[in-house]
Amino acid sequence: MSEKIFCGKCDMLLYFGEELKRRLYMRAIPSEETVLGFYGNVCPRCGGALSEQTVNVVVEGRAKHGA
Amino acid sequence: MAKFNEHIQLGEPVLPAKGIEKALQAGALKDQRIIALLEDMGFPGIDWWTENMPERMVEVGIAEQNGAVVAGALAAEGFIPVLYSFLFANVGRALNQVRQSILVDRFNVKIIGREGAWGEVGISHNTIEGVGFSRVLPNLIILNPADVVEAEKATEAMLQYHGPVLLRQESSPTPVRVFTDDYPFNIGKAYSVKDGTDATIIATGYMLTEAIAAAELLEDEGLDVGVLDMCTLKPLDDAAIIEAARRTGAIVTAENASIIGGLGEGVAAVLCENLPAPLVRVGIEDEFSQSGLITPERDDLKIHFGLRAEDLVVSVKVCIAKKERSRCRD
Ligand SMILES: [Zn+2]
Repeated sequence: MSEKIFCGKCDMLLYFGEELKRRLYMRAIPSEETVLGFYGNVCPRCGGALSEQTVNVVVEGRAKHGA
Repeated sequence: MAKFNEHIQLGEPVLPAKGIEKALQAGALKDQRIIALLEDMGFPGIDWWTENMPERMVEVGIAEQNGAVVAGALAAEGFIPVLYSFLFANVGRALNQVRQSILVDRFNVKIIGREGAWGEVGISHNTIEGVGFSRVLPNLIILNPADVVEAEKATEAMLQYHGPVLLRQESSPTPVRVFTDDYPFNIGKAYSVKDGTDATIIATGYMLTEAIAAAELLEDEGLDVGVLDMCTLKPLDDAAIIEAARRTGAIVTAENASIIGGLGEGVAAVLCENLPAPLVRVGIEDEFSQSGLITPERDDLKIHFGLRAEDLVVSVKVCIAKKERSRCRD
């Protein structure tokens, strides 16, 4: 399953990859907060503040069908 | 004359490499963390780099497995390495190291890989499998720009994004300039170059040039064919593919690459799972690329592999006929 995180203001793709919480051990990135921290909590494109309230998180894949 | 959408202004052929060079230099001036990582293949705009920032160039030689590990290590220390070589080498030869040392930890490494069926470099270096073997790797974004403007904007977006990105720098005939300077490039979003009603050509990289020419030829024959530019090969813009199928009911994909594992197969999966529609994949079939002579009048490989606008015209007509046959069955 994959996860995408978009800036809620300008729709820039900030993260694409494995669903963050999917790995059972040795997660590459612990949380969405960590991703936003990579950008200093500021969208590099529009300058908007990034927080869990201002981004859109989309998880795609089999889980939506119940797995 | 076909009616194109906003941000499209067709111009003369210009090398996409110019756009990549420009964006890399602008990025390096802005961000001290960017490091040029060479694998005995030079680097885009290498003279500028050697003159302006030799301290930010690392040459690992023809040792691509080592190159991938060095890239991962530099990224772990906070740098943004840009790894440059042939795609068959910097990802293909080093596939396990790219997986283990870059992607598993999702390090912020940028890879620029040259690839495509073009010219006289031989069966070893004229490779077309790179998108196929890269699309299977999790955490990797794959970009394949179509013209000089998109190449610059895709490179800029690649540097802005935090995470691993592969930018495929196509070895191909020089594509025409398609986009205006204010074209709003977005990773993961396809761009509709021209809307249509009879069929849609979904093109990536150089093949956008041929797709536009094909749409114009088809218009002369009374067919209204849309052209969708798919620069991001992973993640594909599923919504744009489904919308194109909904609007036109016939999809032709066009890529200067193997149709296996690449754009064609990706689009096929999206259609099958969401809105099945007749599909024809144009690209290189299940075979190796090879050497071909190029003169101003003739490009052997483009003819050999059927990658010309005239070939796309035939494929679009075949696809429209499939659509009509399936409607008759209904
Ligand atoms: Zn933004």
